[in-house]
Amino acid sequence: MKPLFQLTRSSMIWLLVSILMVMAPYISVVPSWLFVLAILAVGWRLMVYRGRWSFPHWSVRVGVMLLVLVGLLLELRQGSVMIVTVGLLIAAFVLKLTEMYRRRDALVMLYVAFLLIVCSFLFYQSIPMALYSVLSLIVVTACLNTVYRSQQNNDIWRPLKRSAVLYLQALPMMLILFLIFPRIGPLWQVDMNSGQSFTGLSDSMSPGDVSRLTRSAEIAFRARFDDQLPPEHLRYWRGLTYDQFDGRAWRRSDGLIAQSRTDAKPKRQALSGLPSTQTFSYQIVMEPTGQRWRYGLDTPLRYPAKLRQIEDLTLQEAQPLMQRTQYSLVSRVGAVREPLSDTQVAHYLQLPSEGNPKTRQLAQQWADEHSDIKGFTAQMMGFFARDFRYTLEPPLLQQSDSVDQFLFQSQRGFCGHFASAGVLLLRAAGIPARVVGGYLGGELNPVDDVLTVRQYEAHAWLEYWDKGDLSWHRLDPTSVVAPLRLEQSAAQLFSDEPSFLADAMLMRNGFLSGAFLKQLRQRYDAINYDWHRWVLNFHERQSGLLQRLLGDISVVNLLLLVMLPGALVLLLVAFNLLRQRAPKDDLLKALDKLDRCLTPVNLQRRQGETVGQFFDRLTLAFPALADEFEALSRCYERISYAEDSNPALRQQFKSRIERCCPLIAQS
Amino acid sequence: MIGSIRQRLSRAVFEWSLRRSPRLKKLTLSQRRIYIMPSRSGFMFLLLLLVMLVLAINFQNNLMFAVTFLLASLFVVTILHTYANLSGLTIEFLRGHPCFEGEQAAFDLLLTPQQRQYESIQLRLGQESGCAVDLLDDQPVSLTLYQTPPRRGMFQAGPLLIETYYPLGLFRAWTWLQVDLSMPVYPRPVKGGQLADLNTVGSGEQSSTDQSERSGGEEFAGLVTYEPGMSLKRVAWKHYARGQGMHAKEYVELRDHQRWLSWELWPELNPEARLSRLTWWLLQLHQQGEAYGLDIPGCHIQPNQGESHRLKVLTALACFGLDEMITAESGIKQTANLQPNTVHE
Repeated sequence: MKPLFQLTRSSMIWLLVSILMVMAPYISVVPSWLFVLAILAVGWRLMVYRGRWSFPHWSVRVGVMLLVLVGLLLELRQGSVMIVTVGLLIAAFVLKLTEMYRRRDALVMLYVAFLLIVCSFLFYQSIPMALYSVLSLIVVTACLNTVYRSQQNNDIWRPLKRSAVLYLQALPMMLILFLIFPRIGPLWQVDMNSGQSFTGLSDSMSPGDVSRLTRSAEIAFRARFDDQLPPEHLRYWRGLTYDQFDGRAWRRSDGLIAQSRTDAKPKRQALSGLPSTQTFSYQIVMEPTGQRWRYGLDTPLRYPAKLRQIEDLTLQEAQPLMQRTQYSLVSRVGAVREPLSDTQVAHYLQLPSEGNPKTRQLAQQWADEHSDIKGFTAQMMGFFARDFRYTLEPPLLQQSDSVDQFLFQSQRGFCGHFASAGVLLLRAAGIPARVVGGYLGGELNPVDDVLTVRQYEAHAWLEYWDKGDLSWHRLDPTSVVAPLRLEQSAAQLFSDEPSFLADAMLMRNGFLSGAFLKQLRQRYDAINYDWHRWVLNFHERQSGLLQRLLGDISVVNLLLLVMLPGALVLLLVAFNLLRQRAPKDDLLKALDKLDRCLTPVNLQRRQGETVGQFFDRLTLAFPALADEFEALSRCYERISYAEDSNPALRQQFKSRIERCCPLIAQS
Repeated sequence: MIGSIRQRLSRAVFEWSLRRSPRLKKLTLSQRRIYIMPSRSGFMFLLLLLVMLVLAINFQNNLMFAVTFLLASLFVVTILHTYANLSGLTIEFLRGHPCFEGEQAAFDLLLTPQQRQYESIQLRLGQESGCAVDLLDDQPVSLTLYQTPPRRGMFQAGPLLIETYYPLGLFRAWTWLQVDLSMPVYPRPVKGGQLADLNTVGSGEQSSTDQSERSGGEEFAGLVTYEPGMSLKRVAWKHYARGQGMHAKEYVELRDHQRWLSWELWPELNPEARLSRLTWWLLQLHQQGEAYGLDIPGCHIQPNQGESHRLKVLTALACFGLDEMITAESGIKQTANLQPNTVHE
């Protein structure tokens, strides 16, 4: 039998609290059977603690560990590597409970607890979560403290206080380190897929897809404009374009994504020529989508180096977006002049070889009537405006010839239906066109002037290419079917439709109830936005901030920034720790003063000499002051031994000493 | 390889710190005496921080950075806390309790806190297992430490290790102190020989003692206040039970034969064995309340009895042939010097 490390009662309690707190954030992340394992392990440990059971045999532990491994491997087939890794960490964490023989085993557990707290940020990064993690850190550290305390000292709350004090003292230095630690790129490529599922646009679109998004009030991205906001009818946020139609759904072709534009990143001069009403500069904080495209207002002109602009003028990043990101853009609105090659024209005219015959026929008819493109689009928009209704719950369409069915039978649909049908009509008439997926609008938060774009503002429209001016033009059939959609937020427009925000009842009710809730929400959103910008995306803003703080970033400056405040804080902490708590008794202070005047004649109070003996000796040395010393001696005895707490007596003692000092100096 | 370097390094630090430490009865720990280094778990913690940092860099996760830096700052702040847990502590070496060879010698210490709380301070002498103390209520704490002397002689205790890992075990603050405490370690008592032998050798010397005590046997002479170390057999339990305090009965030696514990009793034995046997007989005689004298080369003590006499004789036996102090480490080397002929008469 190995020697047993005895956990004290407070250790045991804090260990259990630590386990609870550290595991809680993982409930919805890792497989639930791990939690059953955790409960079993905790139960077993408690029985050992109470002396009922002994630790499980090693074969049991090995067996359980093997089972866990098999379970996690099975999990790997459907989940992500990250979840399995974290699951392994959790399994090791709880199983360690059942083999705690030495202090070192307890340490291993607590260190893994620290690691688990850090790893929880892979899945959650909100403000409440960050605060919760600080709390967990304090509790785990309190537990670490109990491990190093003696058995007899069993106060429950003391470790927690000690731990909180430690963290308070550590906070200033942490802030400095956070500020200046250089943020370098990833050391190696990691699998960022944490198994999340995202709501948002996808790279294929069948007409009903966009209306599904209106059920959700999740934030897609936030934008803050540097000077002026674009007017509401120009807030078209492009995400991706769909250029291939298979008769039912729209897709974007791989060739489109692979090709980045050669004339990327126009110079500063190119911008200055444009009227300022058409260019907007702004920052976007985009929520994770698990996709490669990034949103931008209409046509981005300037964008950060990590992004690239592909042929359809949308922005792409190399990696799927798994974490909130932040970037600055300059965009212009309006038609984009872009000569197309013959192959490109053919590409944007692609249609399935058959299907939707009535639609093709209609397009042909209009094309015959109108020789110019303007006339054709006007005819088309007029057609939509006349007979069609805009609704979130369109009737289901059949598999084949769905556009025919939509145009001539149901005539009710959402933006996806109109964009899809519009592009089909244009292409059938020989006009290059494409469907654009993105968002329209955004809610302005008056607290911090941030435009918040939510999933329910997802939108689809189309773009056609005019061979006359060689430019792409935007065309939004929704604008004629439901003109209010451009001026009002989707929230106002759809507030009566039952399926709108069906997945976010709280939000839906928040809209309906008074202004107070709305204000509260806006304030919270503003805080959240700053949290995203300043904390979660600090690496994007670090160099700018340091430049503003320091003037120029040099090694000396950085070192000074760490050393000076760091040293100051540590000095304060050290002073606080090492200073003597209780002030010295005033009688002793007075005696010290007397000692100082006696130093020249070398008659100070000796080690181990009582005050009475001391004054007796002084009487012998200074016979002239015998009365004074006699009185002092009696006074001291009354205060110390008769417990006469009269403050006047103390005062008398002190003033007598004051009187003696010059007299001693004279003689 | 690394282990041996570690050992040599800690050995060097140990010897260096001892050289810097004069032998004192009392001292207050300050930055001149306290050494502080990350403990083994402290190094593990640093490794953990490194892992966290790599995670934070790779996932570009600023909250991970924040927690990593928070723990790193915690690590630094802990230095101060661990140091403060020793600093200002006053250690006073009170006394050592004599013992027989092969037993553990006990040493009394007094720890006085400096108006501050101290927790989990571990103390030990030499390589013995020690004890841990908390000083929570601003009161001095006295404690007893044990050390096994390697052999008989005047034993110098120490060195004293005071260390603490408080509050988080990340750092170890420690100091080695030379202790100014010495006391005799008596030879191990070994039974053997004959009491009769003692008589024959001692008979020629007895003459000058008081005639009035010659009536033979032991006689009750009165009560004296009991002091620690007196034989429990002599305690006047009846008086104690009556609540009159703890007294010991004193007997007057009335018999004529005074015993001499002589070096020459067992010529066949080597010196250490002789000392051991003399010690055993000494204890026997003391228990029987007889008077005895000591006659060994270099030391001649007149027969007498009582506690102080016993200690005097035992000390003489302990120090026989040894001029130097022994310490926990030096004992073995000096065994070679113990030839009877090196002892000058």
